[in-house]
Amino acid sequence: MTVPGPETGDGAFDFEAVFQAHYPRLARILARVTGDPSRAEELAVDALWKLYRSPEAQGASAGGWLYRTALRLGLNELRGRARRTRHESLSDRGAASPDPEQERAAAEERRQVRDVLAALEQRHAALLVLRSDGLSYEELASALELNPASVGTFLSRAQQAFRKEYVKRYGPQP
Amino acid sequence: MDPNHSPWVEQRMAALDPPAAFQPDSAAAMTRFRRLQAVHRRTARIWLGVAAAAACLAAIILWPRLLPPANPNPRITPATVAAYRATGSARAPILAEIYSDYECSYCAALYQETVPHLVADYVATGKMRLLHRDLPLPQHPYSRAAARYADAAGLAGYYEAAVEQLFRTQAQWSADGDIESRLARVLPSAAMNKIRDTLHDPSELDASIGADIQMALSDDVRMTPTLVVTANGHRRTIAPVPPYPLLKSYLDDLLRANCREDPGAARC
Repeated sequence: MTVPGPETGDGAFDFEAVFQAHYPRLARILARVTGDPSRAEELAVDALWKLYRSPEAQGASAGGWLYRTALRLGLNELRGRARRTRHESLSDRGAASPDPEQERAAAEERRQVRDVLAALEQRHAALLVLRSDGLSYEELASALELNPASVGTFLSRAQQAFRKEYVKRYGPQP
Repeated sequence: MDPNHSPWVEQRMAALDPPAAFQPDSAAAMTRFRRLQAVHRRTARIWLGVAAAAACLAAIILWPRLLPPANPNPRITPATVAAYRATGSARAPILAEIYSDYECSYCAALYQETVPHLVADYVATGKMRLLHRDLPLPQHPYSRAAARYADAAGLAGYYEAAVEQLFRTQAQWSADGDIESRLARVLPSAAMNKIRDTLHDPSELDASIGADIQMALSDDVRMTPTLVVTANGHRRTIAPVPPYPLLKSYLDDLLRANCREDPGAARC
């Protein structure tokens, strides 16, 4: 993962630099998880606030800590929401579509994907979300504290678990 | 590992791509972050205040219980002292006697920080009579001489001014023993002449100091400063002297108890 060094030359932790470097991507990843851009921005700030309040996490691996924390917040939110509601948020709208039926189908698919993510083991869900945001194997290893050589295996297991859960819930899909 | 899962899963995950128009607003996020910081700082201050208030309250509640029991045979009328060493009404419900040593830094702090409050809140309002008692400790080479100077100044009519100056310049004269020059800076030369005359024969002053020392032994005073409070038929030795808010709480309790015994008193 391209994590700008959080430590300045004199060894002091430059929180502002970490904030500016990570906030946009954190918000986008959380928007992917929650489907609610406004809520995603709030959660991204919450994750940064946790980093600010955790001196032990402020070091060379602050970036990975931050992504793990943000994903935990996002997936917890998703699970809580999955328990409370069974309908798609009005704010979760993909690209505007002229066809209402296409839009409804897309919204339904997003809901299904999120429900499956909420049901998965947190590490599997986090792997899939970060991978879908374009993180390389090396970046995934750094963010989720995995052995770089094992990322492929973990990712494959996560995909397998995702498909199994999806099929269990919604039947075989093409 | 089943390689066929990958495109299928990626296709589904792609459904979660946020709207293209979504641009996270870093400036707004930083504002929200700063607000969190401010709330956190405010909350921390509130909790600190609550903790301090709770500690004070606990101290106020518990402190009187930690006091030694009142003397079962109280000597309500302690040995008299020269008039210049007493302030306040002789009919005040509380008699407070301070045993001090002029070379003791804690005594200086008491006189500079607590005694002015006692005078303003209790002596000036007729609730307390305050007596100064000398207890020169043997380890302080100049404290007896300082007590003599203070008493001689009292006979010349300048006791308060001398005591104040002795405590203010304590660090200087306790280093070189030159008490007189420090007093001469604040007392009129006529008063200084009287003081010198008195000090030619200090036997009377030493008798007064000796009476205080005997009184201290009888009050079981073991340190300076020590406050001995006589009120409501009891005499209590308080050492070390607590901070003023705590002391005030104790004195107010004594006054309330006094009012219960004598509800007709004007101050009640």
